[in-house]
Amino acid sequence: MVKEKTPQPEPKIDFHLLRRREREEVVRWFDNYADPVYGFIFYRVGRDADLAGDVAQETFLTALETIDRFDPAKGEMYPWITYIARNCIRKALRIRKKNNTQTELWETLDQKLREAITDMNSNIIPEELLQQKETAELVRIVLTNLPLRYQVALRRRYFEDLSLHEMAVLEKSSEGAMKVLLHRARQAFREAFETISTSFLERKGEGRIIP
Amino acid sequence: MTNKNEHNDIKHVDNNLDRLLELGEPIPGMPEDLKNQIRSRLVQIAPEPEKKSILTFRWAMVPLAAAAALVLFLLVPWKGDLNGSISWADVQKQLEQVRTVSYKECSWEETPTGEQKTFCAKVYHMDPGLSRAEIGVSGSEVVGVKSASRLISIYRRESGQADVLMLSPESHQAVLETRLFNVDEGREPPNLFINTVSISWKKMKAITEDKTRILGDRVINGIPAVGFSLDGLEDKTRILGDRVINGIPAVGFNLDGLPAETIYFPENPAVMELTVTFGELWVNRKDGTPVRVEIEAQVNDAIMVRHEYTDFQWNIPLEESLFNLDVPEGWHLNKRQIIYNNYMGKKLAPGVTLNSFVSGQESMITAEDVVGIVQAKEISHIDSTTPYETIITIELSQEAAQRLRDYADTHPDYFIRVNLNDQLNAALALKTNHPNRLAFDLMGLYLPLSEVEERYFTAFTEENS
Repeated sequence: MVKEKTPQPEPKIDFHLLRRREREEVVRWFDNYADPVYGFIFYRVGRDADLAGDVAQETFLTALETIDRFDPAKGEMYPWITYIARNCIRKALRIRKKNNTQTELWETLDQKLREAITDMNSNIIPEELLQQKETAELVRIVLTNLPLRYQVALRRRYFEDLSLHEMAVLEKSSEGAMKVLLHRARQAFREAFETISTSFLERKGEGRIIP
Repeated sequence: MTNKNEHNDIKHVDNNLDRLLELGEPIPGMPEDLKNQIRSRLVQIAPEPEKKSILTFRWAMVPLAAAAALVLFLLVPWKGDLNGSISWADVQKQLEQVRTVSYKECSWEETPTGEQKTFCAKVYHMDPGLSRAEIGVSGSEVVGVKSASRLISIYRRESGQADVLMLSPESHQAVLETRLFNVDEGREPPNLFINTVSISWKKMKAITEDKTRILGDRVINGIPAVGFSLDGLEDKTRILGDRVINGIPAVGFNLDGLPAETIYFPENPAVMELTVTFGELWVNRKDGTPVRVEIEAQVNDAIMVRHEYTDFQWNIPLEESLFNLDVPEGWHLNKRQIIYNNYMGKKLAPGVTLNSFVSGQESMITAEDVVGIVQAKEISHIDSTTPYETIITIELSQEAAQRLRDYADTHPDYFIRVNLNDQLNAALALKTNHPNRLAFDLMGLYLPLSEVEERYFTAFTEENS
């Protein structure tokens, strides 16, 4: 029988059936995106599980209602859903006046972290910065911002501790292809990390921003 | 010097990235109860129950097709006895010896809206209660070639329960259904071949109990047997002649105009009545076993179906692994539970209303016209208590159903909506289902079947007391 494991990157969805709101396809679509979308929302609402649940529900309902606007030729499903999620998060934070949750995080991202990120190419990030919970939070936010295939590759490598060979077996691909995938995923993470971190630090105190 | 710096930069970046990424764990997944809640909300806004997925639809066709054909097999001379007599004892003996069968089936269907569907399948049955259908692309040849199959259905039946696995090799999707049947004796779900034989047995018993059909005693292969005639079937005008099919000398029988068959399918809202409009049976000249069957029938006077059965193999060795419910590693698996409840002596609870709605017309029915609640079906995700489909079937009095039918016949352009308790709508489907029965999708109520029963149903005895 199938074992529970990391969600597959960008599963094949029958958009024709989804647009017709065929129940089985709707459920399949939801089951495939529930975890990553929830993770995306969770860190952006300050780890408030109740709020994350409400936002996730609104996100999926909105996504299904507007599914006709999604064009698979223009991009993948995950970024499209997270685009909707950002709007829902913004709305929810405004309603619940929880915008201070993120502001708190941004306030604590101090100059030292900014310098460390800027110098990431030439210096080792100090251990004290890595120990800060805000840094870890930022990493999680950045991770959930990546395309699903990169998220899955990084999780398998770093958190599930899979070898390249094991990853290749799961993906039905070669170790070489996994190496390339990981390289790209790390590169995407680095770029997103720099962009998001800099964006936070530059906008510190300016109010609500949803990375 | 520059190269060395670049090398150091890459090392730093790699090191920094590794250390940062290790901070990433754990990112939580969505809690299961929240998943169930959102899943249910999503299916609520996906209100197109009439557009069943092809996956389910095709599966539904297989037992229908098998039933249609096999019922007929057993009502025509199993042995092509051209002398006008049949030994039912001999037929029975042969049936008892059948443990496995495989055949190829090609089916075509046209709905009243003109929608056409076709498929071919290789079907295997093994006693007791195991079936497998490998359904291929439209109108294509499959003949057991697994790679060409677009859907594999495996059915394992036990008392009161069936496990059904549907595999879609192209999309690597699997659906595992647990079907629980709380139905009356005699209305148990079709178990493909095995169940169909049982349906036919009932007819055979009725025939053998009719003393006017007795043709006399005869010893066949050393077995004392009694013969019974079957009106019309042994009519020589039905004999089509000889033909060689796949190298087998065969004799053909015309099956046109056979009496309508009524078959109970709890999976569907009501009974199905099959009227054969065209049919040919070709049996082996040597042993009388079917070689080729073609049947065209009308289901409930609405849907036209055509089935063609070939490549029969009886009692061939079949591996039990053909009927395993294992899902290949890496496939997406959707598990669900379907409950079929059959009711005796239940009617709508006081206060529950029923009316028909056609613009500018008064209601043609009321809750008083409901003779009883017939059955209900609930589909839910295996981990969820909230169903995403709950369907109940009610039976109207003949007069009330006739009023609706008459109106529909004289106003073919009007759409008659029927409301149950002002919340639920059902398209008038008195032709495609059962002449007196209507099915309602209660999805909008968002209630488990047990709660629907509590709120909407009452026993006759309660009301009488």
